Amino acid sequence: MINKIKKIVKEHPDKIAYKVKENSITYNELWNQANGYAQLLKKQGTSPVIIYGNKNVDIVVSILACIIADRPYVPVGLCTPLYRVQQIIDITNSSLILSENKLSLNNADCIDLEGLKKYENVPIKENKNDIVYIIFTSGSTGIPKGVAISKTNLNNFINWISNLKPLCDYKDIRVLNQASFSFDLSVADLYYSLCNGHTLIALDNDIQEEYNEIFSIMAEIDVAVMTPTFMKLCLLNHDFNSKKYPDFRCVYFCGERLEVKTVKKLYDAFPNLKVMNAYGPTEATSAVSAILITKEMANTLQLLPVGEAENFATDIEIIDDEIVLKGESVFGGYLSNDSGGYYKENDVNCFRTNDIGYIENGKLYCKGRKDTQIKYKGYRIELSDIENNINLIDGVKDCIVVAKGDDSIVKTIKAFVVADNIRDVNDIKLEIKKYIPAYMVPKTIQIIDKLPINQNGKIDRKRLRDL
Amino acid sequence: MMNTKIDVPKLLYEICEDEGVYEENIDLIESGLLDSYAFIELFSRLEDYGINIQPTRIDRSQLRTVKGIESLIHDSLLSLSCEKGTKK
Repeated sequence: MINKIKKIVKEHPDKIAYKVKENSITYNELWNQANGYAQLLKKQGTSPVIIYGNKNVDIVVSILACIIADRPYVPVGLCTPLYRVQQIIDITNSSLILSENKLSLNNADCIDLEGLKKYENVPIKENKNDIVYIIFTSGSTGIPKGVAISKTNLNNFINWISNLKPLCDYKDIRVLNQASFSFDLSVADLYYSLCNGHTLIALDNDIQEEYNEIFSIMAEIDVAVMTPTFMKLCLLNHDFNSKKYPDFRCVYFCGERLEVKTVKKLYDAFPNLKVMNAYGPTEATSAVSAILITKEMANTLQLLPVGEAENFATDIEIIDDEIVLKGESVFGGYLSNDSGGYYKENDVNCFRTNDIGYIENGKLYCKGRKDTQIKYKGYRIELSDIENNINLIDGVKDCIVVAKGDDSIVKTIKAFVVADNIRDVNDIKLEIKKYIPAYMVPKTIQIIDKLPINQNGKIDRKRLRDL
Repeated sequence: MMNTKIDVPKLLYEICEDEGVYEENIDLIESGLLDSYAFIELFSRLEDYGINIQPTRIDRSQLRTVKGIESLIHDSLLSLSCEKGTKK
């Protein structure tokens, strides 16, 4: 991967590699800066490096610097509270946080890229690391789970996405970076763009709140990598169509279920658009399958496929209705003792996804989950992660968190809390923000006297969902 | 289908499933009630009622309050009836 970027730097040194708002960086600048900081990173230590921040040029420089320095990077968004960042430090044994803001956290030096210069006179520490990045996802115990992706995993992914039609046909294009770097959808746009010499243009997190700004960015985009929900947001604008956005030629969806009605609406606005639907868990490096969704599929199917056998990135099997992944895309286990769905078979990494799926006529379909894990705003969340953290709040006696929505698409998260001496749900909302990222905070919290029990003596989640 | 009598608080309650929408002077955006999902849902449902509001052409602060949303709907219906009048 490094060699691919090096080649692009030689061929197109002055081309913009990454752009966010008015800031941009060329391939040459990115390479030189990353190399400079990589030398300092080699001196600072060998542990994983936490990169704490949202989208900016320095984050991309930091990511590349970590790769060159052979240190795993851990992208953590600003929506993650310090309590959780500390948990991540403890799990990764990280000795360094690269952040624009000074944070008071234990056992790790918190500096910005420039701050690395204090290590200039320190000798380089020998290091050989196979892990390239660690992404933290929601863990059912209330502690985040670290998914460590190896160089083999990432190289396999880059080769797969770079050879995927129609993405492999595009030259010199502008790619949209919608997802934050802590969400592995961004692995697709970041590495597809950088390893193929394209320009990656970021939608800044603030811009996503400013509806109109989305479209000034979209006007510059040829290929967009985004969640289906984000596209729904774009399609509310009736001016978002091929006449006004003629350059927009392909969209790569991943991260949550793509609905038929979204595709239909999209084709109405952009009749010649290439619509790709991809699938894959964080544990298998962003995505393992993708398929071009045709108008005919949108007109005839109720459930859209998420891949086709001829271009799977790794081996995919259906075992007892569950999608099981095996091979080069699959990670080597969580950082914690929790094995989750990970196992080894004949020395090959395998992962039981807990996704219910099937393969029909060479196409892969995903119907939903076997467990209570949900996808919300593109992020995957274990409802028990939220419950365990709400239970940390003083006065909370018990709680149940349910996801509400339809057709496997979660629209809201609601918490039912049994509490002593807490009358105002806003107190709980304020308190829970200290423990979990903003996207996990239940939109609605209701205080109840006791949790309902069903005939089997278990908590009646279904009844709470229907409330 | 055209419906000129939309109960906005009820509609918001259906979308947000939070009684907070009934609170007087609640800031729907600040409170997190009208997040991106609710935003999509609100505009989609209004479309179902035959009310097409272009989110790019409105003052976003109007979405902060129930009254603001009611006035958006009112303005949209007004311009729709004007268009119809012109066509006649």
